Amino acid sequence: MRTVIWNIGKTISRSGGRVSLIQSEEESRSEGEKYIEKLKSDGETVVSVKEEGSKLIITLE
Amino acid sequence: MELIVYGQFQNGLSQLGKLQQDRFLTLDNCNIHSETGLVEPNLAMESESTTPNEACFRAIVPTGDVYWFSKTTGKTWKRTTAGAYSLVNTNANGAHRGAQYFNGYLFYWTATKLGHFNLSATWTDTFATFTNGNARGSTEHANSLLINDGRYCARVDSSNVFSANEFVVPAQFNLTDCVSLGDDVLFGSYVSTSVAYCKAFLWDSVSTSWTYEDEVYEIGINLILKLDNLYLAQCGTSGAFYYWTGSRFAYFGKIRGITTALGEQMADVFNRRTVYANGTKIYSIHKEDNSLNFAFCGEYTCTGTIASIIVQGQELLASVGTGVDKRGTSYATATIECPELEINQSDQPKTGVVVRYDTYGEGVGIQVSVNGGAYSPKTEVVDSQRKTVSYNGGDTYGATIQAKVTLTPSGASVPKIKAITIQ
Repeated sequence: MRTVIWNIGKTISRSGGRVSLIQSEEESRSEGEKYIEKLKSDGETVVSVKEEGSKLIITLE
Repeated sequence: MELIVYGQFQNGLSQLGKLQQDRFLTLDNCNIHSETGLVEPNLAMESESTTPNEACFRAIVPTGDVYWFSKTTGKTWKRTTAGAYSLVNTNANGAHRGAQYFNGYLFYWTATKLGHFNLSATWTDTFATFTNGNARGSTEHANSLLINDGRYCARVDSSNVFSANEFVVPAQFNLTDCVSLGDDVLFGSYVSTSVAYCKAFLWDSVSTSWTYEDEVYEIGINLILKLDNLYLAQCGTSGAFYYWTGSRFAYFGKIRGITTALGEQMADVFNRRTVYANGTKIYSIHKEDNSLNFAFCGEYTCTGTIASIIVQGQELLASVGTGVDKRGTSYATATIECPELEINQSDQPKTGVVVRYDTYGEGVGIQVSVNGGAYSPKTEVVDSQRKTVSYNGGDTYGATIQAKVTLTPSGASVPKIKAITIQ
């Protein structure tokens, strides 16, 4: 078994005194789902996906 | 006309093509730091092995063994500290993008897959999958290994747990090289080879975003070098270097006349000198004393185009596509090209170029170019009492004069010179 982590949550830049959204939580989740599909299409067996705090804990066989 | 003396070799290469005094147009295979004020030939790079016969990335493990990872295939070679080479693995995922030792494992990666070797017998080519399929540079930071992948930075922690997206930058940026910088990590990036700006990001490795960003108006931050307590970024296509001020990149200087591109693992620190590889040459960026300025100097020439360099103990090694070069035990022929000098029109023709040597004047050769024409080799005369090498006239009338001096060793006899005088 191996564990892979996907971080979810929005990314905000405060650089230069400006606040700007780099990646929304929805986009981050969507990217995570795509990543899990990519793992599956690459032949990985995904045993489980659990959300703990701001992380998806992906367990691979 | 007063004498023009070029003797401050420690100043290194010039940024100007013409007429700058006390810096040099060319310094090839030169050692300008061992004895400040003198220049002598460096030891030559020579072929150590004809394998690996592919351009490679490299990584060193705690035993001192160096592993070479092909940039074009999945092949991996091991070099023992005794200099013995062997093919040890063929990565099922193809051409590599990087490699680094971390926490008991040798990690290596392609654009899409991360693998590791447990340093005994087991090669696991597919340990993890990158998100963006664009894995590049890496650094060890805060007991974890960070590997850039497009707009993401992935992390392997000390328990070997892989996290695919520890750090995120805007979607148009692709992270290139990175370096651990105290509590922070400094990232370089590029947008595309058609966009002439990019950004650096400074991240504290804990927050969900970066602390500082700085635009660099170059096509990419190609790699990041450590220079004493400074961090340099080699950027763009024409040899420019920038230094990190703490929150910004400021222009540092350039190596004139070279072409540069994205590419990690082209720098290291050898005998306290930061060395940077480009084409077939290895340059140093160094100052021997705190009272001196940093100087660029061409120190070594390899037998082929350099794909990566690494320091192993007291050895300097370079992957050159057709094998691996190492710094040998015989000396190279050094070349010093002085700036072009305007001639006083009432002082024609020039009486010549005089080289003041420290040891072995017989190895000093002089060529002269008038009006920017081809260099004309001279018949040298050695004056062992005055410790000079000169020639008996023969220059033509012209507007400018330029000298090129070669230092040719003969076994253990190595020319060292103190100054080049145009009189």
